[in-house]
Amino acid sequence: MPDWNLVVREQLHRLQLPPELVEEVIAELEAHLEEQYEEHLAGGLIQSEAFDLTLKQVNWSRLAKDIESSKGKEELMNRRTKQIWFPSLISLTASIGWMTIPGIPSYFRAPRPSLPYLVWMITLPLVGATVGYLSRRVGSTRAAQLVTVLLPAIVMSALWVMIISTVGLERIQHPLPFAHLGVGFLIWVVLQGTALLCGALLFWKLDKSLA
Amino acid sequence: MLARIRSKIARGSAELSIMALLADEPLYGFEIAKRIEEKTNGALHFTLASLYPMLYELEKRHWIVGRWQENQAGRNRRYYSLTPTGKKHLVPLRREWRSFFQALDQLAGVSHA
Repeated sequence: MPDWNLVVREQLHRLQLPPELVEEVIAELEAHLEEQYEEHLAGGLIQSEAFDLTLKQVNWSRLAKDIESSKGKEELMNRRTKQIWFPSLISLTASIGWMTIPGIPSYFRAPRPSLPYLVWMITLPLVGATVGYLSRRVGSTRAAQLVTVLLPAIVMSALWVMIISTVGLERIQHPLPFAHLGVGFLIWVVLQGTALLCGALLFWKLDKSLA
Repeated sequence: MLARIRSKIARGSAELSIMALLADEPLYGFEIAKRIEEKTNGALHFTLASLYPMLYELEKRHWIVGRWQENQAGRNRRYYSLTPTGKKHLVPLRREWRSFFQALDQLAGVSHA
């Protein structure tokens, strides 16, 4: 079997598009050529004939120009907004954005903070499933779907790493001992990420089985 | 002039063919090309070079949307489906083409050709 990915990549190496779009185009054209080639083989052609016939249909320089003009700048911006920023905003707002509402953070410092954490943890899989649904519906790539679902945990991990390293390296006085920081990291990064991912995975599995 | 008209007709009919197919079910590029060829007994034929720029153009207009998912053979393919905006545009598009063929039929009897 020819390496169709390599064939397309070589032919479209001058494609003037952002890398993520180039990869998507290559993957899509590779799949098309692969099926076309297999069809020619099934039709009785030998491998070299099938290869030549599959490639005969394409004027690569013309195709590159047509693709560039049909996937213009506007499209790129729209796609990024639709596939990355919009689901990311939903993800962040629904899972940690509400913490910015005045008075809410005090519930987490109350004498018995387990209840707010519990309520929050229960809602997280729902948030994960919702963001998973949204990002799939707008046609995001698998990687983008995963990143948007896990974005709150990614953002919090950066924040906690910064806090922990600041406290540790600069040895500044901090009211919380390291154990508390570790628990904070565990809750806001590990547990949050796991809960979001569980919700999204469950939705994707269900969606796939219903498809 | 004639070449320009031909090109516009070809482009318009290609758009209609793709959108009409996707109105029934989501399909990926190779399936779209095959299905159109089968349904028109080979009269309409899409090559890779003619199909994908058209799909990307329709996607840019938000008439169709593509999303990656596995096909029945377990291979990852980009399935296209009609968006609500695309559905809205398909109705007048069908009407326009129907009127066009009726007019052409009255003028040149093409439906009996």
